[in-house]
Amino acid sequence: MSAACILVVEDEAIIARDIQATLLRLGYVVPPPVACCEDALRAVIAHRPDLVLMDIRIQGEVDGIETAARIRDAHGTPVVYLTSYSDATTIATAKASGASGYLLKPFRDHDLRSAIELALHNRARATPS
Amino acid sequence: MADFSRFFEHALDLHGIANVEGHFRRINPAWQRTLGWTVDELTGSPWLDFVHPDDRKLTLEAGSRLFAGASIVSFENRYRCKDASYRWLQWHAEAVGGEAYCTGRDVTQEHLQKDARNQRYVENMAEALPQIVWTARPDGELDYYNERWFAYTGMTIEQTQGWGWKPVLHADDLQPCIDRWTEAYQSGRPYDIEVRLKRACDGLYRWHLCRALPVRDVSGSIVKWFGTCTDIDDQRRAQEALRETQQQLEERVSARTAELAASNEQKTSLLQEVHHRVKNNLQMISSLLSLQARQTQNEDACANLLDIQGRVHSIALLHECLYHSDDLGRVDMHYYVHRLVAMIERSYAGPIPGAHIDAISDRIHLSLDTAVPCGLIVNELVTNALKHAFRDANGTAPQEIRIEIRSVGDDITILVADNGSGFAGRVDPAGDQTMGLTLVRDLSRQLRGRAEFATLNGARCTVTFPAVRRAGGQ
Repeated sequence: MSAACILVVEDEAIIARDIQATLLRLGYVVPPPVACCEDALRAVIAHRPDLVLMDIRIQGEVDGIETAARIRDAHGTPVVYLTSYSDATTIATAKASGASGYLLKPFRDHDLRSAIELALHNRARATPS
Repeated sequence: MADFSRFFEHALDLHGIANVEGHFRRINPAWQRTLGWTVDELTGSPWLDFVHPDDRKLTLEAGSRLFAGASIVSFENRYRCKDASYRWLQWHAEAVGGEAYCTGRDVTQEHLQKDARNQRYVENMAEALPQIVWTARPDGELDYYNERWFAYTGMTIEQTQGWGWKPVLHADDLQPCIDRWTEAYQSGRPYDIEVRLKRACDGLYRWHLCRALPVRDVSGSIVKWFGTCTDIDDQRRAQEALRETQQQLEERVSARTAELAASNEQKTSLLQEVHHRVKNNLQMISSLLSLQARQTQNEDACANLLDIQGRVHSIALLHECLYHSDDLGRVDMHYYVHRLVAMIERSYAGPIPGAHIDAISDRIHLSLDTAVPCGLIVNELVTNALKHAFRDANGTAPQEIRIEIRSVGDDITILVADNGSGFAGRVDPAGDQTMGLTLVRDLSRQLRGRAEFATLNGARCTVTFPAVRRAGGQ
């Protein structure tokens, strides 16, 4: 089985680059990070990622939760949220939208690793093919 | 005997002998003089036929007592005269050998006088009362008003007799009032209604509470209605004004409450937004540090960068904890220290697998400027222990780190102790070998407290500082 492909949707360039570097070091395939809904939808079609790491607040009119819903509806790709919002309302909205995981900022390498591994593991179980 | 029958013939009182069947067998001429009926008419019908219908029940009861052997003394009832009027008779009677010997006296005059006295008494009292007072007959026709009524309505007694009071009422209140009064005098239930009555002097309608109670005789029949009308206009206006004021007040209170709630919500979301930005910025700093660490070839330099990252995260965690506390200004140290330990354990899970960290804290809430140094102190001491305490361990003894945050009197103490190799070689009070322990000293001073290092079954550091920081103290 080839390495899993993970798309990063994050509008802070430094944070996006850090995540990308961490994921590359962990052996994943990582296309260039994107910062808005439209780019994210295009990148999903272009790269067919196994997982999307999604910031809730991104550039443009459409937020991360709505973008994640569109991606899931169109392609069924699992999404792990990545945000500094930890208030009950945001978490409840994210959960209701069917997130595969939720990672709070600031996070460190090992937090990122375990969230991704868990999401990929659950996805593998959900689709036995 | 003939002498005595002369008394019978000429007596002023009514004498009669009645049998048990309800007829008078013999009566004297006084009966005819008093009632107008002939002797034959009176003896030809049962005596009950002549008794006023309202008095029949009591009269029959008295008759039963009489024939049962009791004497009747001063029993009164009304007898119908030939001219259809009634006269009050007062009876004394005794039964002998199945016949009743009855003596009746005409007391009609006394009754009229008594009624007149009662009426005068009622009228005197009525004039003394501050209300309008009236009386009515059992058929609902009003027959008396006190002066206050005439002064208020400007009407004459002739105008307001019977149902003549109607023009005084407000048009909207007239029909309910008639209905209510009719219901009352027909049923005998108390009358009670609030209506507007027109005042003659200025033409204004003022609210009155009108009430009436029936006055009954011994047989329970209504003989009179006694009524009052009390001016409650001022009261009603005051109540209405009060109700209006209360309603306005309530409206203002709820409007203000809504305003405050909105402003409070605004502030809360603003504060949450600030914490969100702080955490996002700290993430950026953390990302910069890990990007830099990956570029660095020198192992020591790389470790230092990761230490800094740990410090940044211990501060970021405080913001996360604030976010979750009820009070957005203070951190629950109990909650914080457990989250901090979990974070440190995750980042050191690789290199030091065996160490067990045990954290205890009193329920202490600290403001952010006290909590930040405290968080950094715990972070330094725990990471220091994880890095150095068990370096030479042979792996047999369980490795333990204990954290205690206590409130003792006016002070707060932070204790971090391990069962490792002690501070020997780690602490150089004069020199500056480890940045971590220097930070602990500096931060303790910032908290206006002190740090003590000891080796006692391992390394043991106690930081003590006053719970309340006084402005201006060194």
